[in-house]
Amino acid sequence: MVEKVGPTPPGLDPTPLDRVIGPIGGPAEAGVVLSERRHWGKLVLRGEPDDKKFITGATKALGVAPPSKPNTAATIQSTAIIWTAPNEWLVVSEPGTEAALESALESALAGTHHAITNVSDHSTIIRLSGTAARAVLAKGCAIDLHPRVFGVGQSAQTNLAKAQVIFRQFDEMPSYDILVRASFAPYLWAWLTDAGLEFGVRVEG
Amino acid sequence: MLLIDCPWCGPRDDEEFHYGGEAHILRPRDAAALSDEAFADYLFMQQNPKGPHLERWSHNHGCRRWFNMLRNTATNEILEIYPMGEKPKTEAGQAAYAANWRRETAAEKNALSGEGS
Repeated sequence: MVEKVGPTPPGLDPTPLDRVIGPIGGPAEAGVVLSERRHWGKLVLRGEPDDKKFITGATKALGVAPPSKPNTAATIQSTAIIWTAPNEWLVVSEPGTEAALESALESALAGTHHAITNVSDHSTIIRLSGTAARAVLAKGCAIDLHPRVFGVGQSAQTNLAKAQVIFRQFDEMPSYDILVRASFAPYLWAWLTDAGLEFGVRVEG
Repeated sequence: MLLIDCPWCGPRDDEEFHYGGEAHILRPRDAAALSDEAFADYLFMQQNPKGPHLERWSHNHGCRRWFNMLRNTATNEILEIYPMGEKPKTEAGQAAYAANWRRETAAEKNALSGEGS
């Protein structure tokens, strides 16, 4: 029988992956390092990119302009603003900061045509890192991940092993943050651990 | 497998896309003035050519935007991709647009009546 509620670490709120993440640890020289970014804030920001007031307000609240180039992400400290459509961005921020960011955006964008939606619990983030991370990701999606084409700051919305995801590369290792719907997360985690088997997988907390 | 060049996201696998049927079907302005047969032309009848076909697609696993595509249904060759609300610009696209039986239907004439006035 499948356990419904997994071993959530003491003192933490449960996440969609608690019941599937195995023991923390693994070989030090593993080519693939997996972890879950627990409860990061996710806001959907919508507005017209041609509206100067909207862009100025959003830039003021976020500290960086929402990227206008498709398939890219802007970052400021640990916050990432990912392009998801010509008039839509996903703002990913540290756990617990989303409510303050939401009200900062609301007040900076007052009077403009916009929408801010808190979708933090809709998805979770799997962090895929390590020397073989690119090879693992390439097994499941048709995006050209060669460093000449897809480097730090690039993002993509696509299907990874048939699961709809948004991922972005944030360092040269390479490392990727993969956003996946909560209900698909256990499946994708299982797929990633299996795809990484040949390179060695280490799970971090 | 098709490699479809999304106007926003660039070349992507066809499994990310959703097919939206024939493009350039205009809703009649005054549907009550049309006979049942003429309204059925608008509502039910679709072109099914062997060759260039103007159709709508949506990148629904990506940016979720709609766009128009000219695709050869016999070879799957993608001949043109152009934005919603516009007409094809290539010669093949304009020929496919003009050759569509729908251009002559009472439903389309009804839809276009009063346009530009």
